[in-house]
Amino acid sequence: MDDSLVIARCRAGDWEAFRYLVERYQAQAIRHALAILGNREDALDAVQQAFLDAYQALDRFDLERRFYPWFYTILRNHCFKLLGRERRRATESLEETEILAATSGLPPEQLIALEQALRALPAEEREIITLRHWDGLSYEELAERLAIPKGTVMSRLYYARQRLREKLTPRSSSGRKEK
Amino acid sequence: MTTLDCELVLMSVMALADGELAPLPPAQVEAHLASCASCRREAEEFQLLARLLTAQQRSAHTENIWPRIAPQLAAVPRRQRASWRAFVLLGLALLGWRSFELLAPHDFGLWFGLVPVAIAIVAFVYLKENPFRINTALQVERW
Repeated sequence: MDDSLVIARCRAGDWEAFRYLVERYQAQAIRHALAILGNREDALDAVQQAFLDAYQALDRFDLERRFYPWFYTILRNHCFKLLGRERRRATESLEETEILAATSGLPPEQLIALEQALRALPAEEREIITLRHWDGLSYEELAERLAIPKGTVMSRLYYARQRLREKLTPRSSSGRKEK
Repeated sequence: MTTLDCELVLMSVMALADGELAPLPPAQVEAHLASCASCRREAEEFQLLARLLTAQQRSAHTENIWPRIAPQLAAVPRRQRASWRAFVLLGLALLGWRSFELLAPHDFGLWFGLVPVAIAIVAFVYLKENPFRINTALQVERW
């Protein structure tokens, strides 16, 4: 079913039709919220509230646009509001995170190191890494999704990757890679 | 080469690897990498990082949040969109006022001139429409 048809039904008063949108996009939304917040319960709270706010804002939604990018703006705002407040729950330990083994056969310690490095990034950089590498968004799509110029996308991605790279391959003061 | 040049080269390496338009042309990037060992090493590390990031699978979050939000959705009153008839009535009221003002034999003073403003305010409050809503696009809040 087309999203615009669902939204039209919701506008006509059929709130149960909204279930289609929730079930279609919740996995993606939870993944994105988790990437920003680093905490599953906070992510679920943010996604829940974002869907509620989106439902109440459906009257203002332009049916010519795609639903998820519009919804992502609401979700993103909620996530960064939560980050701005005092954190309600501690970041989950690595044992609690659900990291699947890579199909490429990379050793688990490498994946754990990557996960730790990702956790240490600022939320905005963690977000753009997630959108680029796991959602496969192009620079243009990232620029539209995040409402920033394409040049800013490039530099933010660059600095995020630079920070990750430095955390994964720490160097001594001489600039040589440490073992 | 200055540090700024190296940074621009590495940014170009990254963009080219992403299949995007780079700040510098590929030939210039290659020429720099051929002569700068530091950039060559960092470019290789970027490639390794990209492979790591792509290879790391994210778990499928199967939690269904519909049961959490359905009761709250059911309780939300749906706002009725303003009927076009209300706007027609508003237009007719303003037209009526203007006709009366033009045809009336004498001037009713300042307060009579404020009647259309009062009509408009009452209409927008009744219709609950925001006349300053420019577009439906949400603005990404800056944090």
